[in-house]
Amino acid sequence: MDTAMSSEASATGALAAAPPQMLSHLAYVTPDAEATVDFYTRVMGMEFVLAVMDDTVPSTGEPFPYFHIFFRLGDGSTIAFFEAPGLPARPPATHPAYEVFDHLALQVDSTEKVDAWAEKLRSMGIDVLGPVDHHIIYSIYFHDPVNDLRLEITTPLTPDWNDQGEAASVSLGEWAAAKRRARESGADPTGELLRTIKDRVRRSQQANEAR
Amino acid sequence: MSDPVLALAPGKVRPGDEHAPARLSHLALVTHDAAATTEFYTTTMRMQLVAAVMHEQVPSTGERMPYLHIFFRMQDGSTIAFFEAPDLPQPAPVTHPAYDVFNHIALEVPTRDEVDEWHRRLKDHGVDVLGPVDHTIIYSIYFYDPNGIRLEITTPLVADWNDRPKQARAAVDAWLRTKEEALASGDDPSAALHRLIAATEPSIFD
Repeated sequence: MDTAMSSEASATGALAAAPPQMLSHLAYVTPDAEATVDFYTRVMGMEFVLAVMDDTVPSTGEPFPYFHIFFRLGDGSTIAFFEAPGLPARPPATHPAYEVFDHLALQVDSTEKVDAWAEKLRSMGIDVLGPVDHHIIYSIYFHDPVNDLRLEITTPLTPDWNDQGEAASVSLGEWAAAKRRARESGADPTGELLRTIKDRVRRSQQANEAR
Repeated sequence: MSDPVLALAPGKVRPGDEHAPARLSHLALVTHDAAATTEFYTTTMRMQLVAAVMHEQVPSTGERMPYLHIFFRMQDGSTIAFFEAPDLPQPAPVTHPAYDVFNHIALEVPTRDEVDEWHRRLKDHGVDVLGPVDHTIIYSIYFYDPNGIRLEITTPLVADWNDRPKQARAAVDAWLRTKEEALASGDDPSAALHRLIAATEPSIFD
């Protein structure tokens, strides 16, 4: 690298030295903009703050009439939807786990508020699962009935719930090692992973008893 | 400082939003490659791997399935999360290519210069980048993560990009009315919507 390039890199590289600040918007396809507006404003308490209508997709130039609507969270970030006529429905999930794993979790500032959300949603006729105490966060789960999105309302229970980098790297390493062992020995990866998880639970219990 | 970008700083609660959830906690999606996902989000996206949960049972439903749940953090503490579970089949292909364009996650950076810097950085990492696209209210680049998830890096160009409730309501009413009228008269809704957009675009968006 010559000097000009490296000084350029250090000058501009500093700008993106950090991760993105925050969510700007999360966008999904909706089959029904009107019902979506009703759900996010009336049930979720989010203001409907922006609508964009266009007949070409700006990023690709594809001709396609669409309607793009945005609902705002407390920090200014938004959940957005696109409706486009003639778009076929999503394919069904290939496994029920997709409908549990894929989800959007929205944060409130206390467990009392999570409980208040559970009560409010139930009073509006929405099925609510939980509260579930995950030890690091406290959550309820429900569905956006229009778009069949799994939603969560949650609050952190420990200040470091999202600040456990070292332990996270260890976990990822153990997971990858279990898969590798299964692959190399021709064993069932599920069994190997279950053994790894049981072993972790045992170690964590021993550590707690030793404390 | 009166920089319009700072008016949207994380944690800023606007009047009228006190009943809404405060912000994103985490967005979670299925991955079939936790290793490649970790490499991309930590190295390319500079988001630290900050939490990993390993369980043999889905806590909210009790279903038995070993899974790894990993979280990558943005500056405001919110995270993008992934689940890997062995033997989970690939998702079904999309029913229309528009799904791969419309479904996306947009991450915010403070300035237009930073969007341009991300553009260079992603290209240096061998990522195909589309844009920058000047949407008048936001300025964005688009690319895909190793899971095929469409990502956007964006910055607001005007302070009120996310604060136009009256125009939003007028636009939704016009869209719905046009669709209903087209259906009632046996007209093609797509063609009617094209005409609506051509006729009303400036008054609705300005």
